[in-house]
Amino acid sequence: MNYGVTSRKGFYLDLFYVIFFDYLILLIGFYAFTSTVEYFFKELLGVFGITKYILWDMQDVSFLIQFLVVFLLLDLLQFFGHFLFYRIDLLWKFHKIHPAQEELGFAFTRHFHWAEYLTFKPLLYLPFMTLNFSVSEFIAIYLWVGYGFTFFSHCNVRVPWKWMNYLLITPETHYWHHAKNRPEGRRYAVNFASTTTIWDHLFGLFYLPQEDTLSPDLGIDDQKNIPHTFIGQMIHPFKELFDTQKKKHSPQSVKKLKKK
Amino acid sequence: MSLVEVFSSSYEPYKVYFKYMLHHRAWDNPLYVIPAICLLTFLLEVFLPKK
Repeated sequence: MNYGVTSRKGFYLDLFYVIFFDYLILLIGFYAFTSTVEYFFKELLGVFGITKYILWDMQDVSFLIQFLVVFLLLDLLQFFGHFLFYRIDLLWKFHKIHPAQEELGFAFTRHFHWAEYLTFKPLLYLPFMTLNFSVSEFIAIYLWVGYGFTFFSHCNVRVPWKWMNYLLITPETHYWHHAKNRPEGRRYAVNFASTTTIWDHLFGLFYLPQEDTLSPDLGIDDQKNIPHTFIGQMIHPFKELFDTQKKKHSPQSVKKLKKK
Repeated sequence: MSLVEVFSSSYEPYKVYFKYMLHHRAWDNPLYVIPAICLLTFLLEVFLPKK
């Protein structure tokens, strides 16, 4: 029986991304990648003679404080990292395969480039290392605090979430994050947070129009250039980087630089 | 240690953990929780009105 959910454009590719990231990468390799980041960060600190890296031992505080600190810190890190992926051109080349979709759906949640996943996510561990959390504890925190919720925010449901929109990232607020036409005066996008809207409110990036008739089209400006296959999407950012470098070093641009 | 050595040594404890997860069916096991979340959000999309 077709409910219309599976007939969404790109549904099966998105489902493949879920299996690829959640099973082949996250469950099998995330631990090793995060441990590798931890090892090299400790080595780097050692170069500067820093051996004590625990700033606040969270193991000594109550569960409630631990939960609040961990929840808000992870949400802030994800918010800030997400913003940087829009703000820095190099990062945007990798991230844009995620917002380059015209329809949202729960399976769309994991539609990312592997390079983004395997560099950004393990780096999130470093602040938790200074709070005396081990890699396995961090992964557990990440899975329970920051992971499942994103499936909900990408759901294709038309339900008025009312007051919840101002506290949590709902499908309604996240829909505006993926809007092709940004609201007036917004240079990058809106609603960057993953779980709560606290950081969006604090940094003035929260946006939710009162009238539902303003529902936007989804996608990005250069939508047509993004391939529709998994391999194509994995190669695309590298191809763009290569093309940019090629343009930079072309005889015409060298001549222009010399004239300046 | 080289990057490959660090990665492979980090991988060893995870092999043990992964084997444990396969046999440990519980609410705190992501191996089973991720499909459960997928199913839950799938049902949300099926039963709630769509955009």
